Amino acid sequence: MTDYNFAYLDEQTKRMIRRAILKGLAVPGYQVPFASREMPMPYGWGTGGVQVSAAVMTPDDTFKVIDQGSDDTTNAVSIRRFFERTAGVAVTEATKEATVIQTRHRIPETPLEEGQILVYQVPIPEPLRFLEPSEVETRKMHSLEDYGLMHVKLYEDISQHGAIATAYAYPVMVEGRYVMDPSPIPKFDNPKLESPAIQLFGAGREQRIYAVPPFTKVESLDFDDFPFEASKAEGVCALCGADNSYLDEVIMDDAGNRMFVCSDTDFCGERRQQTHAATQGAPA
Amino acid sequence: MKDVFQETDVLLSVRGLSKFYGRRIGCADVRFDLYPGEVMGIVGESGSGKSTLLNCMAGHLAPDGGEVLFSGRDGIMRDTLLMSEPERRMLGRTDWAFVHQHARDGLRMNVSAGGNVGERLMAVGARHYGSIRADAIDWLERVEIAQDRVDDRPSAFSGGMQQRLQIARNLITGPRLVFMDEPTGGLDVSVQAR
Repeated sequence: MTDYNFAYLDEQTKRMIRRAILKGLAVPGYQVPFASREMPMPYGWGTGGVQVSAAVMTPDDTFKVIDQGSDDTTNAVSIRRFFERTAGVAVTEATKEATVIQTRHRIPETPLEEGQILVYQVPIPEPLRFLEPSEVETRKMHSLEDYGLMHVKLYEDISQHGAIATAYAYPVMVEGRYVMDPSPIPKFDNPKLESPAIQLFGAGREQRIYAVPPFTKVESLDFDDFPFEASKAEGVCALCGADNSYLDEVIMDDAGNRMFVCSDTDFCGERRQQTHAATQGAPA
Repeated sequence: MKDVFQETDVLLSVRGLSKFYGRRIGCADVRFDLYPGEVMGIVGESGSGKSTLLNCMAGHLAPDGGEVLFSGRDGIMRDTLLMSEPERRMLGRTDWAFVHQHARDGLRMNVSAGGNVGERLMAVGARHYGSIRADAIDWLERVEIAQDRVDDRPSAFSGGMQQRLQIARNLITGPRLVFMDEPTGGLDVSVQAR
């Protein structure tokens, strides 16, 4: 433990990141530039999220990491171990017990509470990026609230697919002002962006931090005649029987058999402990 | 008496507009009044500053001097050069239209024809897909583009069709002033005449 400062980053760096976080919280949805550091992991593994987590973490925190809903995939395990080793904080897989949760591509099914911090790993923070390649121009569009182009994208979706086909990274309007990319969470999770918890977004490679403070209005963009729909796969979890959680599709064999299971492993495991065993489920 | 009436009736008034590129003159001390319904053509050799003048008036270039007064829907003359950027952008997608010489400059090439035509509507707050699409199809027909091309991208259109698409995209919000920079370059003679 003496080899590292608490939570790996030095205190000056953490101060710099905290300033960016505070500005982000003060201007919900606004992308604050920050001097992203090299982290001992490659870009794309959550360097932005790790830096934000390191900056907000205290020795009393309990830390949880989610990777695509799961607590036990490579990304989640290695980031969790990283902070176990460099900060010595307690870690958990239970959403309720965690005070800082770093996540990639999901919001936990268990509703978050006041006092919790959800840290998102963000690959591309700019929601207008694929419509307008110029950073100078997108910044101007944000400052002038020039967001017509975002609806052009949704228009194209409907004209090509008959419905808004954007299924993840679904753009949202934060507090009626900034259009924000909620990171590649499924649009099923979009309604959960209105939360009592603090939500922080860190993009390491792109050097941006943005935030959604508790109880902030977050609206998913849509058309009057094509309203936003928080869609998920039709079916119930084969392990716990939940019909209201986001489901992963698992291909079982070459004959086309498949099963659906909860993407949120902690949520699923807890339900199985409460003996919600379904078709294939054995108590966890 | 007649002068006073005309002063309030004028749509666009350009006064002493100048633009320099270093020591070279783009345009110098241009002044004219434009009235509603009037069509003004600016003729000159290439390099004489026609496009410079147009871009200065439309707010795409910052002139070095002069005023561009535009009469808003409330009848008040305002200097568009002193407007804030949001005001000028709003003007640029409601009361004003700008048709580029090259259709590619004025179109989004990776967005369908319908999306191109509907963009201005969405930019001013239209949020009903059905009516945006109906308006877009209506305007495509007015510029003689078949209805079934609405979901094709402009890159699948001929040069003349792209130009007509650009015109439709500009006219959909019913602008009161249209700037055109040699817009009929790629058009068929029959369409040019129209």
